[in-house]
Amino acid sequence: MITYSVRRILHSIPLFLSVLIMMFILLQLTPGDPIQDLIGAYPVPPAYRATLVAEYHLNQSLPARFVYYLWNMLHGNLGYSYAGHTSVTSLIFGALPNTLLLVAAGTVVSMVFGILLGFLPVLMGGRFVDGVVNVGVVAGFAIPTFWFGQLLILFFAVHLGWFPVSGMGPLFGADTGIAGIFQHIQYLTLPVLALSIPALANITRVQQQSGLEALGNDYIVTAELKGLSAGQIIRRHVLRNSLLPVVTVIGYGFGTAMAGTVLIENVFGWPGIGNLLILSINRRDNQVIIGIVMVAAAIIILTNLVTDLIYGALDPRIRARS
Amino acid sequence: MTVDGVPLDEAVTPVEVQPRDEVSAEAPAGAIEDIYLPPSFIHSARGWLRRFVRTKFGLVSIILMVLLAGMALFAPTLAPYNPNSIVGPPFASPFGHYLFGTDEIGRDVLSNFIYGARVSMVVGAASGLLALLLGCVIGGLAGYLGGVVDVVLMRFAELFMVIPSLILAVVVVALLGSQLLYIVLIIGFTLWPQEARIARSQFLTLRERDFVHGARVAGFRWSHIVFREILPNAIAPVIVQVTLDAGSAILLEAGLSFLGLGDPSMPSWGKMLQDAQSYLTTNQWLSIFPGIGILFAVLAFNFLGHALNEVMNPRAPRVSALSLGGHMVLRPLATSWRRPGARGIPEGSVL
Amino acid sequence: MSIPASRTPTDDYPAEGSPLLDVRGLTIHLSVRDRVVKAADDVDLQVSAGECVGLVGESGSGKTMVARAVVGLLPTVKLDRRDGEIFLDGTNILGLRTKELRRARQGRVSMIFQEPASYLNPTMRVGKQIAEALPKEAARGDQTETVRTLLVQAGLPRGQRVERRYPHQLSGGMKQRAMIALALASNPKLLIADEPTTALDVTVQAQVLQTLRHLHQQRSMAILLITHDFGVIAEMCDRIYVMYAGQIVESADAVTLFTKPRHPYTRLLLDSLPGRRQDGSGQLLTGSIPDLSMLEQGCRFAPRCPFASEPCKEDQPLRIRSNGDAVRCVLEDAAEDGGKASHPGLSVVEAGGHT
Repeated sequence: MITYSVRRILHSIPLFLSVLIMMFILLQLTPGDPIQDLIGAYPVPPAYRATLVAEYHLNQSLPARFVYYLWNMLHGNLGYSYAGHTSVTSLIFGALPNTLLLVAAGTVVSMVFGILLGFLPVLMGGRFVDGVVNVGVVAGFAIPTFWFGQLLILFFAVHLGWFPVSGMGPLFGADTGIAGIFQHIQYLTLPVLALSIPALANITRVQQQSGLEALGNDYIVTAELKGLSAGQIIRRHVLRNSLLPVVTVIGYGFGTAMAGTVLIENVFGWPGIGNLLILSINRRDNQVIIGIVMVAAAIIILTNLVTDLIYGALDPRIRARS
Repeated sequence: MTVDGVPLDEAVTPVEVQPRDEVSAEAPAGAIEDIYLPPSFIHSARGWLRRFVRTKFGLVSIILMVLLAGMALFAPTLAPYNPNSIVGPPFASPFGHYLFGTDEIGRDVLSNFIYGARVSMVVGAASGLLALLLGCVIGGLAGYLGGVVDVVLMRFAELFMVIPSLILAVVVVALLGSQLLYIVLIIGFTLWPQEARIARSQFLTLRERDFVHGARVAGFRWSHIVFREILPNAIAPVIVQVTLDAGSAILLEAGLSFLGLGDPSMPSWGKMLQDAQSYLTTNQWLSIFPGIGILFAVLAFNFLGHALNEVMNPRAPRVSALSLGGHMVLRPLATSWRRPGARGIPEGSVL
Repeated sequence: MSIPASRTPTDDYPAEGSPLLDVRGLTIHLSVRDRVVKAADDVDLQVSAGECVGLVGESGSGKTMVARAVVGLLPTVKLDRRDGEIFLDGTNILGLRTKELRRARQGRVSMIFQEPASYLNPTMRVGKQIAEALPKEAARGDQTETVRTLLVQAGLPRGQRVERRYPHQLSGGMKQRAMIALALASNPKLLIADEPTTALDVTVQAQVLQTLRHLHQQRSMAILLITHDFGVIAEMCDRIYVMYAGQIVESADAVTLFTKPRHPYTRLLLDSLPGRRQDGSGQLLTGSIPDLSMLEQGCRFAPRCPFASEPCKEDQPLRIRSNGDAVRCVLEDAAEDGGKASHPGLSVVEAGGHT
C-alpha cells in the first residue's frame, strides 16, 4: 500500500508541471502584445512598460519565466489583476469556496442517487426497471446541463416560484441561523440539481453495469451454497464488489463537475470561479485565467490522487498489480 | 462523454469488442493462405447493415441523422427566412404565424433553429473524425511500439484528460480565437485521449495474436500488418467511442457558444440559449427549441454508437443468476449469461 | 492403466439402509433459443454414506447439470421440463423453495468446482470467506481457530497463514484447497467435486486428490466425483456411473467397470486411453457427441456405435442386474441370457485389455 501510494503521489507532480508548461506555451501562441495581455483592457503608458518588463521578467527566456512563475506560485503569488484591482490569488480564492460548495454538493447528490438508481435494476431485476434506468442514463448523457438548468429555472423558479431564479443568496438581509441554512439550501438546490446530472448519469450507468456483473460471478454461487441469505449475499458480495468501479467514477466525476460549474454558474449567476473565468475572459485578464486553470488542475489532480488511493485501499488486486 | 467532459476511466470501458480473427464460414477453410486473409470483420460486413437497422437504436439514429443532416444541408431551402434578418415583432409567440416564434430582436426562431443544425452537425462530425484520427495514430503507436514511446504518449494523453474538456476549450478559444475551424480543432484535441486509450489497448492485445505473428513470419511489411491486419480489427470499439464523443463535441460547442465564445458569424443553438438566458423570467419559449435541437443531435450520435456497439458486441440474453437457488432468491434478476458457445448450447461447465 | 491393488470387488452393494443421495428419474430439459436441450433424461444415481462415487462423461454428457441439480443450482428460467426426485438424506430437494433448500443443504452437501479462482471472492480474505460457511452459532474467537483447523485439514499448513491472504495471492492448488476447506466448514455428509483437478498441474492434481481421499476416509464423508478423467476415477472411486448424452449408460463398481465394461461407449472410451492396449488393436471412438437439442428416437450412442443394429432404433431403458449394476444397451439382454457370443468384441477385451 505504501509503495503504491508513494508512486501515485510522485506521478502527480510532473503532471501538474506539464499542465503549467502547456498553459505557458498556450500563452506564447496567443496573438497580441504580452504586456497588454498582462494588463488587460487598459492602455499602457510607455514608462510603465519598462517596470512591467522587469517585474515579469518578460525579456528573459521562456523557461526562465516559467521558473519565476512557478516560484511565485509556490509562494502564493499568482499575479495581479488590473481589472479586478486586487491580487489574482485573492480573486480566485474568494470565489473558490462558492464553487467548491456547489461541486461538493453536486457530487454528494450524484453519488447518493447514482448508486441507488444504478443498483435498483440489480435488486429488482426485470426488463422494465432496467429499461427505465437505461433511458434515464441516455437522457442524462445527452442533455446539455445549462439548458437543463434553464428548464429548472423556468419551471421551479419562474412558474412555481419555489426557488429563487439566480444567485447565491439575497442581496440584502440574508437570514441567519437555521432559517439562514434553509435559505442557503433554497439557493443551492436548482444549481446543484443541474450540475449533478452528467455525473449522476455516469455513476448510475457504472453502478448498474458493475452490479449486474458482480451478480453473475461464480463466487455468488459459492455464497449461495454456503447458506448465506439473499440479503447477506447482496450486501457482502454483490454490493461491496460492485462499488469498486463506482468509487473511481465518483472521484473522477469531481473533476468534470468543476468544468460543468463554468456553465452552471453562468446560468444561475453563482459567484464562483466559473463565473470568474468568463468574466476574466471578457476582460482579457489573462493572469486570472491562467491562475484559475492551474488552481482547477491542482484540485483535480489532487482528487484523482485521493480517488486512486482510496481505490487501492479497497481493492487488494490493484496494490498487487502495481 | 459529455461536455462537462466526464472521462471514462480504466475500469469503465463501455465497449470491449473481441476482435474476430477466426476465418468466417464463407471463406475456404484449411488453406495456409487463410491466415493472411483480411480479417473477418470485413467478411461479415454484409449482414452488418441489416443487423444494424434491426436494433432499435440503429433505426432511430438513422432517422435522426437523416433529419438533422437534411436540416443542415438544405437549410437555405428549408428555412422560411434569413436567420439574421428582422422579420417581425420581437417575442412573438410560437405556433402562430412564426412556427417557433421570434427572438428578442425579431428574428425568426425557426430559421435560426434550422441553420443552427449546421454548426452542431459539422462540429460533431469533424471533431469526431479528428479525435478518431489522432486517437488511432497516437494510441496505435503507443500500443504497437510499446516501451518508452508508450509511456511518453500516454503521459501526454493524461495531460489532456486531467484538464476538463470545457475548461481547456474555453481557455484556448478565449486566447486564440473563436472561428469555427479553431473550435473544431480544439474540441478534437480535448477528446482524442479517450480514443487513444482504446486504440492503444486494442493494438497491445492484437499485436500478440497469431495472425499478426503469421504475417510477420511471412515477411509482410509493417505497413501492411498495421493497416490491413491490425487496424480493421482494432478500430471497432474506437469508432463506437468516436460516436459518443461526437455527442460530447456537440455539447462542448453548444457550451462555448452559450458562453459567448462560439463562432459569431454563424447561428448556433448555444448562442440562442445565451440570448434566452437574459429573458428567462419573461419569455420561456426562446429557451425550449434550441435545447431540444442540441438534445436530439447528441442523441442521434449516441444512439448510433449504441447501435454499433450492439451489432459488434452482441450481448447474450440475460438470465437470472440468483435463480440458481432453486427458485428466485430475489425477484427475477437480470444479468448477462456467459457468452454462449456455438449452436445455442450453453458452453462448457453448464452441461 | 491398472486397478489399484487395494481395491477389491465388493459384495455388499447396494449399502444397507437408504442412500445419502438418491436421485430418481431426474429429467431436465432446458429451452434455449427456441430449442429444447435435453440435458438430462431419467437419471438414477445413488451415493451412500461414506462412499466415493464417480460420475464420468465427456463435456456435454449432462454430468454438470446433474451435479448442479443435486445442490439445487438449476436455472429456473429457461427450464422446459424438470421431473424426478432428488432425495438428500431423505428430503426431496428438487423444487424446494430457497429457504427450505438452504436448510436442506446445510450440513449435508457441499460442492467444489473446477476453477477455484472464480468461485472465491477476490476482495475478501480467504479466512473470512471460509468463516462465512461455518454454522452460525460459533463464537467469533472459535471461528478463527476452526478456520485454521479446516485449512490444515485441507492441506494448507498453519504456518503459512493462508487465512489472512487474498485469493489472488494463492497458487491454483492452494486455491482449490481453500475451496475444499470452505466446503468442509459446514461439515457436510456429501461432498460434490465437479472436475476439481482438471485445471491443475499434474503433480498438484495428485496431491489434491490425495487430500480428498484422506478427508473421505477420515471424516467418512461421501464424495460424488464428477470428471472426464478415468485416471482420477480409478484412484478414488468405489462405484462409477457413466453418462452419455444426458443419460446414464452404465453403472458398476470400479473394478468391474474397468475389467469388464459392458456398454460399447464405456468400452471404447477405456480402449482409447493411452496404455490400455499394448497391441494397438481395438476400435477408435469416432464422431462427436450428439446435439442435445436434436436427438432422435433410439439409442443415443447408436450413430457412433460399432455394434449398432436394428433394435438400437428403439429407446433403450437401463437394464439393471441383480447386483445393482446397470447398462443401457440392447446387447445386455443377450448377455444376461448367458450367451457370451452376443457381446462382440467382449472376448477380445477380456483377453488383451487388462495390462
